[in-house]
Amino acid sequence: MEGKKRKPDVDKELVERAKTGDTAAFDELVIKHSPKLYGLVYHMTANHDDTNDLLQDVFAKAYRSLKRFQGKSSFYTWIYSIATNMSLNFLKKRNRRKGQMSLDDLDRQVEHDKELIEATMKSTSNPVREANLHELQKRLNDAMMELSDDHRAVVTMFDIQGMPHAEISKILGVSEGTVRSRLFYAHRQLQNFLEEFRR
Amino acid sequence: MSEELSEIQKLLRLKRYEKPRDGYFEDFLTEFQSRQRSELLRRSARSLLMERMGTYFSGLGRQRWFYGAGLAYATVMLGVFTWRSGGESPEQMAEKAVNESGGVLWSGDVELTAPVRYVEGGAMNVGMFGQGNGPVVNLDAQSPRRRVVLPAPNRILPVSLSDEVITREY
Repeated sequence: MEGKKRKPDVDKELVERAKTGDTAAFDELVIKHSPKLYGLVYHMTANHDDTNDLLQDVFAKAYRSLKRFQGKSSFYTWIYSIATNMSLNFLKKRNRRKGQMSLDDLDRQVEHDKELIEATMKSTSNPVREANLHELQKRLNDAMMELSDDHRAVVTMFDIQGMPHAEISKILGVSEGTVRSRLFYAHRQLQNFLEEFRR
Repeated sequence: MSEELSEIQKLLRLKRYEKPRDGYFEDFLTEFQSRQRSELLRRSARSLLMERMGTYFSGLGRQRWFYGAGLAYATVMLGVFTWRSGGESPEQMAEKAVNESGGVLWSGDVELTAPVRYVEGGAMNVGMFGQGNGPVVNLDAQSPRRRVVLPAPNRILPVSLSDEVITREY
């Protein structure tokens, strides 16, 4: 939309300092963005060790390429693009190892997370359903891994991380229409996978 | 939106609460810093040289233009020299000289005071050439592998890779 003001990049100052060689500034960017990027990469790869290695590579690449970052998009969008592309490339190379998903480690964290417990209490209406929540999450994880890499990426960004369609389209370099259609297809796939469990 | 889809999306949103162990991100930063340091140490000598040259020249002020002009001149002269020589290797240049000379490497008088090995008819001989003797030419010209005596005083000129060079023996 013409005339629409772009939000100022909150990371601009840190980026400018990092470009001059200020490693402490880049460290602050790492601290700020690694949690969300971890979530993105993990939900695409479903493996903690792969996520750790890949995330290290993402930040290393971002640091090396920082001088070429011109600020046309926010730093957040830029590094998100790097992370998404590297994750997709990684998934293409590796054989999908469904059995090696390390969700058990994360699931323990999830069970004890106060916010999650409150959220699940609100969303459940009876004890039986609550007991099945964990099983349902597990099934959902399996269903996520059945999606193609591209579809899993849009589900991760939209449904899990809550990003708007416009931002997803910038990151993936596709139109918003493509994002919506991929989401539609992915949601239908997930419904089909979970259909049997829900009966 | 169907109820089923709504449920699925609720479950998906819950996944954003999934996170690694406590302290993971602090360890992640430490690992990243350590990796950065080791990458800097591993940087190639060439990239370090370029960086140091850049730093050196940027500190020269106006003088850097004179240095730059000098380097450019040297590069141009090197290019001209290479172009004029036709990009030939020393062996190619030597072979060309031999061919142009009709196979005779030396046409002047030879002043030898020590025994010289030479080849005639495929056999290695030792003989002496007295002062003022005529040119030493190709011997054993029938052999596909030409053996050439190079008597040029204090000068050894490789002819071609296929020629066996026999130098003066002192």
